[in-house]
Amino acid sequence: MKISIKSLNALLKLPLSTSRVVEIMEKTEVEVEEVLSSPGWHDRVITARVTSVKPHPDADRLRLANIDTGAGEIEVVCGAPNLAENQIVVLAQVGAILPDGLEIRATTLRGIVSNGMLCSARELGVSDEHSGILVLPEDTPIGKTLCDVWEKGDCLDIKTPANRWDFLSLIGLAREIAAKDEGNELVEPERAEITYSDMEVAFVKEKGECKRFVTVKMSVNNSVKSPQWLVDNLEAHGLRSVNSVVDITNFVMLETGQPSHAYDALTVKGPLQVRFASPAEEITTLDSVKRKLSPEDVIIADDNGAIALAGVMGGARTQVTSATTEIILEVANFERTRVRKAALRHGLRTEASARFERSLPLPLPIMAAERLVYLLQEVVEAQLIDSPSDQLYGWPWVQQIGLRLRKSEKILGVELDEKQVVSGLKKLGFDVEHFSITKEARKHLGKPYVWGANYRQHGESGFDCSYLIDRIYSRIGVHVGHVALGQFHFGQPVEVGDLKPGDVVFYEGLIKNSPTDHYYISDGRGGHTRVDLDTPQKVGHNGIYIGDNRVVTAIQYERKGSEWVPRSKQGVIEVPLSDFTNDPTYLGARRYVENFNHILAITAPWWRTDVRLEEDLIEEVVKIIGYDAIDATLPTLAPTNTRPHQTLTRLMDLKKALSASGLQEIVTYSFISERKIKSLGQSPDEFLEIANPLSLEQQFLRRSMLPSHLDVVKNNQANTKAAIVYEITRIQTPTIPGELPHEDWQLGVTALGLDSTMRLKSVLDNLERHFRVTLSFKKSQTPVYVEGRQSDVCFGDDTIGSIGQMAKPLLVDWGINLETSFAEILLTPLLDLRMEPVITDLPDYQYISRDISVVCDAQVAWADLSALVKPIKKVCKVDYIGVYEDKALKEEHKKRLSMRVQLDLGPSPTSDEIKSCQNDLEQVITQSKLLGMLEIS
Amino acid sequence: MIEIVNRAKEAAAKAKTENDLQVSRSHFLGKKSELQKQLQELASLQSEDRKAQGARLNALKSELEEIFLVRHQRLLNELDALDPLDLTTPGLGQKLGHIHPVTHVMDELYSSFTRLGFAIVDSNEIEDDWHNFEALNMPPHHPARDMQDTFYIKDDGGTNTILPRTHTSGMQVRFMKDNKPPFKIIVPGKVFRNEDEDRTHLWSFTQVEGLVVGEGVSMAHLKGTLLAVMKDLLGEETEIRLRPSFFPYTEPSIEIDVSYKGEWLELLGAGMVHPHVLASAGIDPHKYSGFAFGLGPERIAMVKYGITDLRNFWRPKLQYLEQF
Repeated sequence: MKISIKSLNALLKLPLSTSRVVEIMEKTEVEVEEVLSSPGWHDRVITARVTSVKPHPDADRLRLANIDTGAGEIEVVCGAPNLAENQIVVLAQVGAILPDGLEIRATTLRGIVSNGMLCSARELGVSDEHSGILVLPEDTPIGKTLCDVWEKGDCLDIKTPANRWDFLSLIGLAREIAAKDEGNELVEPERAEITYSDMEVAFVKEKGECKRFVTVKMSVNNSVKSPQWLVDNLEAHGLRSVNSVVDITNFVMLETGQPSHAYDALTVKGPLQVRFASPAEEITTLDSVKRKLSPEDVIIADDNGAIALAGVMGGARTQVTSATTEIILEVANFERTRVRKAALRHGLRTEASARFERSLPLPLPIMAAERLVYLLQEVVEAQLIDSPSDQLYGWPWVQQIGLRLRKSEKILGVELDEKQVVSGLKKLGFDVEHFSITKEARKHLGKPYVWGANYRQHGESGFDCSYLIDRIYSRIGVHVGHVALGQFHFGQPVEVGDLKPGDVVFYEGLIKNSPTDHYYISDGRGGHTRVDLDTPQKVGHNGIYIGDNRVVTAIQYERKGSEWVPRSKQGVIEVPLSDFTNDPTYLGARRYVENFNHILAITAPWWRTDVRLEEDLIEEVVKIIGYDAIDATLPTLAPTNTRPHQTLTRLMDLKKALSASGLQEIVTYSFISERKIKSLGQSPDEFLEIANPLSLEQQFLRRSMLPSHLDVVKNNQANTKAAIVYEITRIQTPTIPGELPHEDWQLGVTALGLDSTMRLKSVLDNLERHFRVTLSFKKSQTPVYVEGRQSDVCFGDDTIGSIGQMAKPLLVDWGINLETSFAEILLTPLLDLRMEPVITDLPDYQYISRDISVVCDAQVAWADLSALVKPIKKVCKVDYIGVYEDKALKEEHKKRLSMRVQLDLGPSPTSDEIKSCQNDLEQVITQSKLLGMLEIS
Repeated sequence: MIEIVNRAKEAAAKAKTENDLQVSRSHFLGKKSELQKQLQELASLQSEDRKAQGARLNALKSELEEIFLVRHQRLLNELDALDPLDLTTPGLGQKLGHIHPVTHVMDELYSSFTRLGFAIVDSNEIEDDWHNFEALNMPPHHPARDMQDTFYIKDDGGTNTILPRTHTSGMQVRFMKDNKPPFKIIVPGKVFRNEDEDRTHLWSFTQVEGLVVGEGVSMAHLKGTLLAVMKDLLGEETEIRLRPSFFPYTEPSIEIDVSYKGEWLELLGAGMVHPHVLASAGIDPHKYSGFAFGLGPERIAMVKYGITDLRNFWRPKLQYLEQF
């Protein structure tokens, strides 16, 4: 939101500099995004009067103007169509420099010398207006520098929190600033005094959606132009001037935070109605857009249909123009969610809807209406036609809270100065009292007994017994319930001997109505929870103990033997404790608050709808003392379990290991397009879809990193010819619609350049080493990989991934011209393992090594050969050496596999022992049908 | 005599192989050599002469043997000589790779927080509306939801609204429901915001959520914890500054500015956990209090490494990433 410092200062007793305002705002939740400094003007830019205008002898579109500079007359050439005699204009004299850097010189235009330039608003850097020269108000003095007469002032671009409606108003901001500036005060703007009739002039059908509806019917002279201060003010806040009445409603919205709307009264037929739109009803709003209304939209209507979308925008049919002579001013309270939904539904987030969305308080429309009437009287000679009407369908909430200073200190971790806290809260408009339970109870002595009294209707003027208790505790935000039964069930039981001031004593007394089995507990926010009892109970009367064996109670009857008779003196009185404890129907005592020390009873001002809890007040307290007053200390608490999940640290270890082995970690976005899913031969149906994607490129949640990695290869192939990159991310697998998907950690690795597949394979070998597991590789046949150069990766019986060289057609499709291989592994099953190394002691003697070459069928896998050799007696290790295929072997579909076999034959084997072991090896290998063995060497 | 020595030196020097050397050694010292012949003749000499001649010949023999021995050693050295190496060329073997800059920051955060006794908690990226918003005091249509532009998962007739989480705070509620205070956790992970990408904004980025709940946990603890972590991350001289703010799920709420290279940077949002949030997770707000915070590793990486365009992080340029 844009606010002007000048308008803010108009509401402060002591005006502040821009930097001081920014400094104070930093101590509040208001975020200053940008300071927009006013354009300063060169001192040769002055005000002047046009004394005469005549045509240019040699140019149709240029005219010659005589200008009175206050110090003499000069002639300038001007092309502006709006140039006229007697205008007060802005003259840039020769030598002046304009905000865009242009220096004014005497120039000859078609043979006539122009001794300066008349400026448009754009040339002065104040707006984009350039259709003509800027014309100043008639009463502007001439011959003054523009800076002297036309103080535009600085503006701030601010962001305000969603819980503070009042920060969307200049008064709200000024109030907060004044409270935080020593000696400063809010200066309330002038308002008219209005007497309201309680006639229901409008038909408010939806009272739940519209809790207050104030209307004022007035005659106006709207042909009067908006005064310059008003136009300037609106422009400074980013609004444009329309006509006087509309400008005033906009200005009062800026000032008070209350949106209002004026209808041209002569175009409205019949009384105003507030109702839901009927099906198929339409409205053309002020922006000239015809809108189909939803039955969920609350509208203002007359006999001919909708004339405004409540809280969002008015209609074109009844709009106020400069010809309007009679208006109906509407200042209403609309329900926040209804307005928000309507604004979203119609794509119409307006200044008004943004304010209603924050939930405006019920007293606000009155303040705004009185300000509106004042300004309308001042500017457009407005006169009331009928008595203004105030239709109120809600109760202006009063929030009372107890602030425990000790609790505040505990939460903030700082010692508080009570005086500072109290005066700070008072400056912010909070009513603050030191709470004493005895004083609070005695305060009501002598007030009349009113059966069924409550706060909304009776305030503190009359009580019944339980309302007295309820009221006293409500002062400190403790909600004990409204009826004695509830109060009896809510607190902690206390024995007579342990009674402390504040405890509540009960007896059965006279139950006027039959015993009940339920009661309600208030949540302190206007709502109630019903509590049901198993059996009905009789709890007839109570009073509050104030110490010294005295009880304060609101009482009507007294006991005469076994009878209850009306007392001669009824109302709030003080009685001896024994009146309760000695009564045969004494029920016991209850305690609601352990400690009343240092509690402040606080009433929030009506505009602070954000303050509902003690914690909200603690926030006010810390803003008063300042965050710098808080020390930085470390918590000493010792959590019992500091390692609930190790997944993330194990992933970090893996990343470090992979990067240490030469890989580059990358991160890519998780959303992919339908086209990419299809290009991999998959169906989008099996993917989670984003309902509101930014673009079609980002419509589905990926289940593989392959498309993202192919993009990376494509975008990097010009500069990187050989690399292995990896990414570790969570992958979502849909379950049941609306349920959370299954999520797994997954590793994607991409190798590019020559030998990509086997270089990639070494990453998986390292993965095995890292997790101390064995993966197996099973030939696969998927079209994304090259045939014969791909494999499933298995862990135990489960397939947890795949590896392969990317198929040519896919690379062509992606525009990739480098050899590329990709592997993807599900990490979740590996991360859950904690494999410790298995250690074998080595003997003092050396093992015997033998290199063995085997010629076998070309399709025999190394894994098969090593699996064959490993179990042979005395073999302790089998290492791969290499594979050899020459032309001759290839023709026969054979290859030669070489391995190094380590044998454990004891400390000093004889040559016979070695020979015999070698024979065993040869025998097993040659007898294996699997290999199609030919020779061993 | 001297002549023989010179000849032997010459011959030894000429020999280019061990064999050559052996041949010429035999010539001077072998059975058929001049020296050997003279030694044999010694026996026929007078005793006086024999003694003197014997001493001379033996001296000569030693000298010749020395010549061939030295030459042999030298020859062996010459024969063992290898080609020179250009040690300015890169070595063989696997070069180190790189972890992502954001992972660097994350790693430092992990170690800093674990030193302070925090546990690191894993969490889902897709969250339901209740945990992401409602349990955090943001009921449907609450204007505070505007603070976070949200992607939604297309509703295929399911009853729940699910979404790519807009922050890691949903995990606060899940963790509190399953664990008893006291605890200190961080929850790192990806989050998603439906907003346009530019130099300083990504529509998906990482966040580290922190949560500490226990008896007597205070704002001073929040300040102390984050100051300690920021000093770890950015240097001992780092300072922090707290400013009022608003988040629906903390009360009081603050923004934390961190000083770095003479500038105040807005790096964290934080606050005391709102009592309603504690209560909705089943923790008694009268007994326990807590603080929570959220920080962005991308933002920290940006500050720390002087990065001007965040898009380089998530739209990888390998040559760029290799610098980290």
